[in-house]
Amino acid sequence: MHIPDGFLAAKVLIPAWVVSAGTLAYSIKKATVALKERAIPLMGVTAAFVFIVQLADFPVFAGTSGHLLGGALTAILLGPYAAVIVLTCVLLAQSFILQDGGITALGANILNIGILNTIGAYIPYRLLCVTKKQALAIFTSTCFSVILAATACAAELGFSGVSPFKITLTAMLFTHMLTGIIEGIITVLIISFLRRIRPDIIYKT
Amino acid sequence: MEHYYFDEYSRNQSIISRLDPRIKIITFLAFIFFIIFTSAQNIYSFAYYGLILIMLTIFAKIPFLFILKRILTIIPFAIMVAIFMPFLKGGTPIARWRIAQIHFTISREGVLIFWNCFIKAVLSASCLAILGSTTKFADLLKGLIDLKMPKIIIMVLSFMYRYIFLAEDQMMKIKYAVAARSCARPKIRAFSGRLSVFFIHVYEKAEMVYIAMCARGFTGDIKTLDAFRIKPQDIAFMLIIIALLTFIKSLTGGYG
Repeated sequence: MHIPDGFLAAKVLIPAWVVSAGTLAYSIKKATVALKERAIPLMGVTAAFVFIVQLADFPVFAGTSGHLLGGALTAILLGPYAAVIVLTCVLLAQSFILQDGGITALGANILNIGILNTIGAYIPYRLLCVTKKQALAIFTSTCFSVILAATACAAELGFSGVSPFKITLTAMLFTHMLTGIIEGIITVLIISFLRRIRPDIIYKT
Repeated sequence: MEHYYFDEYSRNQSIISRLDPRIKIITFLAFIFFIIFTSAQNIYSFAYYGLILIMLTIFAKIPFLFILKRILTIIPFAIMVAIFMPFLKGGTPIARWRIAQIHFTISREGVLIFWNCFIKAVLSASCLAILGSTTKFADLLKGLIDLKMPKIIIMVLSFMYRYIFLAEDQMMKIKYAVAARSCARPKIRAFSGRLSVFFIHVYEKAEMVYIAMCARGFTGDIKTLDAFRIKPQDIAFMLIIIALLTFIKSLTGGYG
């Protein structure tokens, strides 16, 4: 999922950088206003948690592996603006420390994992919350956001001409459908657990 | 504060690790840009880039095996994404054979695309590996502050780094506790319960750490023991690398 340097063409890189930088700047502006005193350690812990969770690959099917993305969990836990910042930090650190994801491709990676996977989960979650079925709302929005991120990744690679769009999309959707379901279940269980034990740390609008 | 895995070689005293982090970040970013904007046909320029990187690795006193291990992280992605390209891209065929009625054709254009992604990803990853393994994380952060990275990102990054230690400690404790009490493979409910307990524990400790830091006058600024001053050898390093890269570019010609 983390795109290395050299895979994307300039016509994909530049728009991706513009969109991510814009969203990030807006999130920073919104988050600094809304941040409470205790938000900084919570953001740091969530970033460390996501960093570690993304390191753990589990086998999906015939040699391919997936890992949890954690974007949906972060968005539901911290709200969309803080989630964009947290995921950006995780990606930055992964790129510098572990060479997982390139530095020029960071714009595209922030777009896929930092924005589509967080805001793409938060909006459906808010909409589905109206139905009062919390678990279903969390599960659906997590699955949706994982698949959205995978599709965006396949589309970026396809537009750059490095991989046949249809095949990559099928492969990506297949592995990430399974990842999404696993991540959905885990996110539901974690959020409902946290809601019982520490309801004060969950983001409220 | 060093991590046994992330900061394995950042303590090494070498010419590269003594350089100013800002200069190092800028130089390696420039290097990556040169790599990205070299057209795939210039095989020689990639060889020269590789040679410079090997020299830098020797100067930095990092084992080659370490760099190779870091590069390996991109191989699964490269194979999953671009391996189909030599077979599917139409163009001049350079090899063809058939297995069970299916014709496989490898085209020159397809191989070129695969080579293009692959070599650029490998070279850029080794650039980042040298940068990352010769710089302490705190120095990297200080460099990023001077390069005008927003303050909140620096704060979250520095707390993340600090809390990774707490998190790993907690993870080991949970792992031992589970090993001592159960023998079955975890059900998904138990697994996510473990993750949530892990999160809560780390958060509660992290909050204490933060409060303690605030009580001792933490305002969000990062302070390191070394004061950064750009020395003549930093400028020299940057100029030599950029000059070499420009020379290679002009030698093989063409941007693409």
